[in-house]
Formats: sequence, structure tokens, C-alpha cells
Amino acid sequence: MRFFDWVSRGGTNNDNINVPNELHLDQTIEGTIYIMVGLEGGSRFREKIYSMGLNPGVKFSIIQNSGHGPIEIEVRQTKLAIGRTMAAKIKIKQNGNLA
Amino acid sequence: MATSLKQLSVALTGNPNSGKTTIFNALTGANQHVGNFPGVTVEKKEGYLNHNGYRIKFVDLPGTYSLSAGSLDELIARNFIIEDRPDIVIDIVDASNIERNLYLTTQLSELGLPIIIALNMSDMAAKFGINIDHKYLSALLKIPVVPTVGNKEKGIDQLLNKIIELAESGSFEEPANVKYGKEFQNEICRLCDILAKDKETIANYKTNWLALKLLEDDQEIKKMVSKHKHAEQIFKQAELGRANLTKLYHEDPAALITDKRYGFISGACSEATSMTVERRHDISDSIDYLLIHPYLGLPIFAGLMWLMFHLTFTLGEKPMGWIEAGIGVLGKLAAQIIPAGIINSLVVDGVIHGVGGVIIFLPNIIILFLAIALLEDTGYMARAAFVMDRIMHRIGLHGKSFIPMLIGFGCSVPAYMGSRIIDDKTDRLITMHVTTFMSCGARLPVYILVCGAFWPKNAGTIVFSLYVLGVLIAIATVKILRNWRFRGMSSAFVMELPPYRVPTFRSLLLHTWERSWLYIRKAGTIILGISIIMWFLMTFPQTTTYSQDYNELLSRAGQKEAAGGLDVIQLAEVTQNYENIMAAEKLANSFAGQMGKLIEPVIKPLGFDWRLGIALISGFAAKETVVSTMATVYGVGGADESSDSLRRSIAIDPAYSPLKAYAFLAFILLYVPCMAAMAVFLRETGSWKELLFQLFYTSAMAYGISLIIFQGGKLLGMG
Repeated sequence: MRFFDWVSRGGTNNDNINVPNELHLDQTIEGTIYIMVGLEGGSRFREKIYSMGLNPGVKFSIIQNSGHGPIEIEVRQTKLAIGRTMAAKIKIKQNGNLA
Repeated sequence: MATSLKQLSVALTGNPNSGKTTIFNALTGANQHVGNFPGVTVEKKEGYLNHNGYRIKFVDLPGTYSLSAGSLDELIARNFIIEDRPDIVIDIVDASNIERNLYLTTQLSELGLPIIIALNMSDMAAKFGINIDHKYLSALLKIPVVPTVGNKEKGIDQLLNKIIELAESGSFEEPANVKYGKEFQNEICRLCDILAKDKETIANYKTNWLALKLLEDDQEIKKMVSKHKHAEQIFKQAELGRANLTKLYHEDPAALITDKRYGFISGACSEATSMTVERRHDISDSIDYLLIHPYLGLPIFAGLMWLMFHLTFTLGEKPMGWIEAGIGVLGKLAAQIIPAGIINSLVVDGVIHGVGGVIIFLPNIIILFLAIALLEDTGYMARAAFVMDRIMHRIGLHGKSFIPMLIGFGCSVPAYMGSRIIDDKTDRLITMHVTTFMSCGARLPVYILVCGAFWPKNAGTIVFSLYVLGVLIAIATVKILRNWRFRGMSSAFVMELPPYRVPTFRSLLLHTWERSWLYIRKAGTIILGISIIMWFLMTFPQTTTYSQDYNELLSRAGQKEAAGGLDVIQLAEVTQNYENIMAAEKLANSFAGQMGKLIEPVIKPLGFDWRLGIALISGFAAKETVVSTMATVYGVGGADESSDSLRRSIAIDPAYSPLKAYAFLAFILLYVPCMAAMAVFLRETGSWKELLFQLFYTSAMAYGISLIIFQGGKLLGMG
């Protein structure tokens, strides 16, 4: 897990620089906590995602992301399944202090 | 007495899985029924309660996350609140997920109706480490809050008292509104000024809310406003407003509105709630790890499906035998009591054999419905959708479509209605078109009958193969529809995976009973009616000219026996043989026989004779009637109906072979949905064109596949 964190931080151990703030939900690692940033897509898609509790600023964890098929996350004590194509449109960032 | 009670209507809204149905049940007890929404003919649940001099009507609205009209459910809930204007709206809020649940509340509070929040499952929330000061929350939102625990019926009395209190006071405090900012307010005011010029068109709506929705670019609201006298001016102003706000904030106004709402909620929640625990690994996680495992998930799902059908068979076998024996006794009894003749034939061959033939399969149906209720109530259904998403995505739908398809194994009617969970119109339509191919419970009796006759040892496996065939055809159909009628990709797949629950015995029983009762009722109504019609068509006209004088032949055989040329057993055989031929000739000459003969040339290439043709025609009304019709065919046609079961009659009939039987079953699987399902299909799609397409497509599919099976099998030397 550490290794992936290191890679996703751009291969540097300095937390202050190069923390990638433009990740997408499909590029996440199981068991990690992220923060929702926003999404690319129409207003209906946004309303759908936001109304289900995944809105900017909220923290969530990845329960399952096997690299194919939908992604299971946990946000606000509920589990959500999100299709991979949709996940690619959801912008997220690393949780500041790496858990 | 009922007239002296004051009437009160209360609508229940809330997120899916917020415990809305439990609260509804606790409020209304058994005093509920399913009716139709006026206008949009969609089913809704209603329940009544007499309390403190009021007759309260509770309406259970579909569970939604938002009122944005993004899906049919949301639109139904929204339109009901706006157009029917219930006296009070109860918003069920899941305390363990309060922020998300309050999102719906912010939208509700803009509609200008009195709201009561039922803060549900606060015991669960406390377990998660969430503590909510409900009094403070109520003060912040300016909405009454009543803590409840639905499954323990806690807080229900307080909720009722609150309802009465609100009703008595006759007025209510305007809920705290989300502040969208000065610029927003200005744009809203500009729109309100124009909207107010034609009050009649928008009588049901709050102008403020309409203005906000127009800035959000809500398509349903735009449709409604287009009837406004100044519609053009309004649309122009709305576009201008949207452009202004976008320029100012560099974001779509709809996104801003959502952000502001969440901002408002988190403000209220940070003051009124406290969280002590972040998150714990729970049992649901462990189960999920296994059930939606990337490699194990699918085999587990397939295994569960096989088990479901296997149990449907094996557990059903014994009670089936009892019912069959019971019907046999009843038939014999009726045959003795009623003097021989037309009435005797009607009761024994038409009613008892027809309806009895369908009732026999009740145990199988109950087991199948119970299994589906179990999948739903435990929360596995959503996981099945998750697991199937990868496959569904590849064929052009997403995982959610699989839920109505799975329900379709039980019955197409709830399955068509269940497709409402799919937001996108095209996805929904495709799902409904292919759900028909998910073999429903009513087709099961036909399989059991025929498979039991031809493959007594492997009946379960053969039946399973039919279900698989149905799924394969469904997949092919999605591909065909995507390439030919509805081009494009599937829409967003986002779905909540509810926590696993041990289903309550009561809810399982209720679910299974509701659906099984429908089956029994169908047997007593549609199937009884069709049985009598089919009996009539098969019995008349009575005047038949036989190809030979069988009575003469019979008496000659009798003389031969008397002369010592035949022994008693031989005589019985000869007599039986002549009687069978006579009965068959009589059937062939009947109205039904003539109808069957008329279509025989069409179905001959499939290996079906005119008798199966009759059965197929009767199946238009309901699939089970294929069985009752066959029972009547053999009841009328077979000389000894009471001792020989229908299954054996078919097995020994030289006109059929296993290959023909399989082609016939494939046809039953694929051809048109029954009348009840067609009616629901039309209602849910609202389009005759789609229904006609469905009828044409399924018929063509049934014919094509059966033709391939029969002719292909013949070429391979199987038939």
C-alpha cells in the first residue's frame, strides 16, 4: 500500500509537492480514504451523485476496486456501487494526512 | 360514523432504505391497499388509520434521494406532493446517514407544505457513534423532528400526536430555507415577477420554487411552464439568469444550488450532531468481500441461482403429489355425484382438470417467490446487480437492469414496474423489452409438466437450461436493440448497496403471500374462465361423424369375446383403443380442433401438432392455461382421465418426442407476455408502439428459435 501511495504522489517522499489533486475515482486503491472534489458531466449526473451523498468535500473509502467492473465505496455510513465509466468522470483527491 | 371523522392526508417520503416502509406499516398496520396514482397510472400504497377523531390517509411515496425528476420515482413523488397537496408530509430521515437524507428535506421544504421529520433508526446511529440533538436540529431547520425506531415501533405515537397537533393548529412555520446568495435571489425575483402575471397556470406551485427550478434548467418544469401565457419571456429571462450566474460563479447554477444545499445541511449538522467514531469494519464488509469478489462473485451468484431453481423442484415435488391426489379424488367424486352428460363433463373435464392442473404447481410457485423475497430482503439483490454489472455493461446495459430481470423470474408484472429504478428512459425501455425473456413463474408449470414427462430424471437441469436460454436471448436482444433501435451507451450506474439484514419472518411471509395469492386468484378467475371456454371449444359441436362406425366395431369385439376369440384383458385393450380413437376424432372435429388445424400449417415446421396449437392460443391469456388446456385436451381426449396423470398421458403419446417437447418449451419461454403483463407493459411504457414491437419481436423470436431447435435437431438425427 505504501508503495502505491508513493507512486501516486509522483514518486517523491515530499508530501508538500506533487500531491496529485486530479485523480479520478477509477484510479483508486482499495482500503484508502479520499476526498470528493467534483465531477465532469451533465447536471443530471451531478444531481444523482450529489443527492446520494457523494458531494464535494466529503471523505469516503474504497471498499472494492478490482480494476474492472464497478467500484464499491463507503460514504456517510452507506455503501455505493459506481460503474467504472461513471467513476472515470468523478474527480477526487488524496486525503491530506495519509491514513 | 365514518362521516363524523375529519379527513387528513399524509404523504411519506424519504431516501430508499431509510425505513420508510417499516414506518408506514407501523402507522397503518394491516389496513392498507395498493391503488393507482391518479393521472399517472402508477401503483402507490395507501393505508388508513382512525386516530383522535381523524381519519388519516397515509400514502407511501417511492423512496428517492432527491426531487429533481431525474428518475420516474422522483417525478412521481414530486408530482404527488405538488398536485395532490397532502395536508402533511412526513420525511423519514435515516439518522445514521443524516446529511444525505436531509438533502431531500431541503428540497421538500421549498414546496411550501407542512413537514414533519421522523428521525429514524437513531439507535443504529448511536451505534455508529453519531449523536443527534433532535431538539436543536428542529430549531435550526424550523421543522418538527420526532425520533423513531420503526422496526421497534418506537416514536410512532409521538409522530401521530405531532400530525394531529399540526392539523389542529391549522398553520405551520415556514421551514428555514437555504440561502442561495444575493445574485441568485435577484434572478429568482426577476423570474417571479413574470411568473406572477399568469397565476392560473401555476396555481399549484410556489413561484419562488418554480423560479429556482427554471434556473436549474429542470426539463419537467419547463414543460409545465410552456403553458404559461408569458412562457417565451420566462424562458428568455431564465436563460439570461443562468448565463449571468454562470459568468459570475464560473459554474452551472444547478451545481451551485446543490452546493448551497449541502452547505446549509453541514452547517446545521455540525451544530446539532456529534460524531465520535469514524468507521468500523463490520460484518457487512466481510460478507461483501466474498459476495462481490471480482472472481468469486459470479460463480457464487450462478450457484445461488441454480440452487433456487433446484429447490423449487425438489422441495415442491411432495406437496405437489398431495395436491394432485386431492384433485384426483375430487374429480372422481364429482364424476360419481353428477349424472353423466354435459354438466358432468364441464365440471370434471373443464373446471376440476383445468384449474386443478394449475393449482398443482402452487408449491413450486411459493418456493420460487420465497426465494426471490429472500434475495430482496437480505440485500443480496443489489449485490447481484453489482456482480452482473460487468457483463451487463459489456452488452449495453448496466447492473441495475438486472434487478427487474431477476424479479422477472417470479413474475413479469412486478418486474416491469421494478424497472422504474432505472433512471434513463432508453435503458429502462430496453430492460423492459428483455425482461419478458426472463422465464416467469407462470411458465414454470408448463416446464415441470413437460420435463417431468420426457426427462423424469433430469427435469431440474432441463428447466435450468431453459432459464439460461431465456437469459441468452435477453442478452442478444439488448445487443440487437442497441445496434438497431436505440443507439448509444448505457447511462450512469450508481446504486446504494443496503446493509445486509436478516429478513423478518413477517416480511418474507407477506412478500411471498402477496405474490402467491395473486397466482391463486388468477387460477380462480382468468384460468377458470379460460378453462371453461376451452372446454366448450373442445366439446362442441357434439355431432361428429366418425371415420368408421366404432360402436359397430365395439359390439363386434364383444361378440368375439363371448365366442371365446378374446379374453377379458384383450377386450379391455381393444375397447380402450377404440374409445381413444373416437375421442381424438371428436376433439379434432370440435371448434378448438378446427382452430388448431387452421394454424397447424404454420406451426408444423416447429414440430407442433394442432393440439399444441390450441394450448399456445390459450396461453395468450395466461401462461398457466397452457397446462390447464392440455389437461382438458387429455381430459376430453383420454378415455380414462382419473387414474392416469396428465404427465403420463403426454409421455406415452406417440405424437411427441423429446426434441419436439424442447422446441415447444422454448416457444413457451419466448412467445408473447400474458395479458396481465401486456397491460402493465403498456401502462409503464405509455406507448402502443412499444407494446406492438414487443408482441412482434417476441413472437418472431419464439418462432425462430423453436424452428432452429426442431429442424436442427432433426438434421442431427435427434428427433
